[in-house]
Amino acid sequence: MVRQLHPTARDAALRRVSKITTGIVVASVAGTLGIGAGIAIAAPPPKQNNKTDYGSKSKNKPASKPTKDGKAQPNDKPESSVGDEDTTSGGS
Amino acid sequence: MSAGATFSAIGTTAHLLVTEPSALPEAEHLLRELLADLDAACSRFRPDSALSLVNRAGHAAATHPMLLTALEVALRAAEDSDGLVDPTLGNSMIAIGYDRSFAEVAPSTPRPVTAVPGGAAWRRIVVDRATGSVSLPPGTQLDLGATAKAWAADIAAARIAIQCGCGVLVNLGGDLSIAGTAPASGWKVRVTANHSVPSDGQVVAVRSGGLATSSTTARTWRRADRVLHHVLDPATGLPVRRVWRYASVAAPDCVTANTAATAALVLGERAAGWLARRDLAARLVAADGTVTTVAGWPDQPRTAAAEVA
Repeated sequence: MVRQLHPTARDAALRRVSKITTGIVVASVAGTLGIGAGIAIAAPPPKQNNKTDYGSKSKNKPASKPTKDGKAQPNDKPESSVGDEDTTSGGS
Repeated sequence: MSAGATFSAIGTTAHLLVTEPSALPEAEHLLRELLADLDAACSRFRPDSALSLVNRAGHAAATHPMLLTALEVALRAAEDSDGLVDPTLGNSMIAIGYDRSFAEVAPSTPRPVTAVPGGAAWRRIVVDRATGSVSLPPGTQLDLGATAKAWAADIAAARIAIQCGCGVLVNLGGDLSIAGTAPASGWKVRVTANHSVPSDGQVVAVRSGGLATSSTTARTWRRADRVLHHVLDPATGLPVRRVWRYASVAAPDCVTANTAATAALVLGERAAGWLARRDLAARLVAADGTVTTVAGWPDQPRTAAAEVA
């Protein structure tokens, strides 16, 4: 046996469904925009052309080689070595 | 397998190493081009350089952009070292006889020197990046020798690594900068008193950043009964006391390393503490050959701890 909802109760239920749907859509759009903005912020700037620019004091050096355990060098301290040198650092 | 090129530039020796031999011609071209620009901008011995024009006139508008940045780098070094590394010692250098390229400085004359203390004129230099203008306090002469070479090594290494896509070491008269991926065992560098006469010292491996050595035994000349060198104490305007024969410092970049190495010679006995507080790995060799290492500088394997003085 099918029981009919009262019209007032039916309209209220419809409004609740409509609100929930609207909320999901708004949240989805906001999430998409947020992720997009995050990507835009995190992305590296476009590569500069080869034009000489002496205005920058930062060196923007490419990453150095990681150590054997895969970690980046925590600093630029020298390591012990033996054998012939590649080059020399002395007073000049 | 790496490849390298050596040539004379800016009054010293340039040594370029790359991890990719096929990149060497382009890398060398880039380095030569940059050093030619540096010479035109910052040479104290070229009458037509932008620096010479500023030294003569006391000011310049729309000056060479490389001089502008090199001066900003020098002023930052002066600030960071609290004036131990001073870019306004041009008059002091002239007074002690270093008034031309070192190859032309008379090795010995009977004329005594006159001290011209620095006076911290660097604090009153005005650099206007917007207009490209520089203004010096009256009578001031710039000498960017301490930092300009190191800065050039930094920007050259970075540019070559980016454009050639390989590991790079640029060595300008003992001021080294490394960029890109170093060889598996690192770049092997001998630190010693005189980069053109490598004999004693220590070989270390470096993979990134900068390494510089300042020495009181390289570039020396005699005036009357005094043996002079080119590392000056800003407080006196005279060469620093020879507490250390040389100081080698490793740092995140060559400008920082060069600034610290020069400051160490000026500080004398206080150098080790100053470097340790900054966590800068350093090797100091005293006048008697005794070696002091600081902040993680590696021990020397298989050899005695002292060098022949």
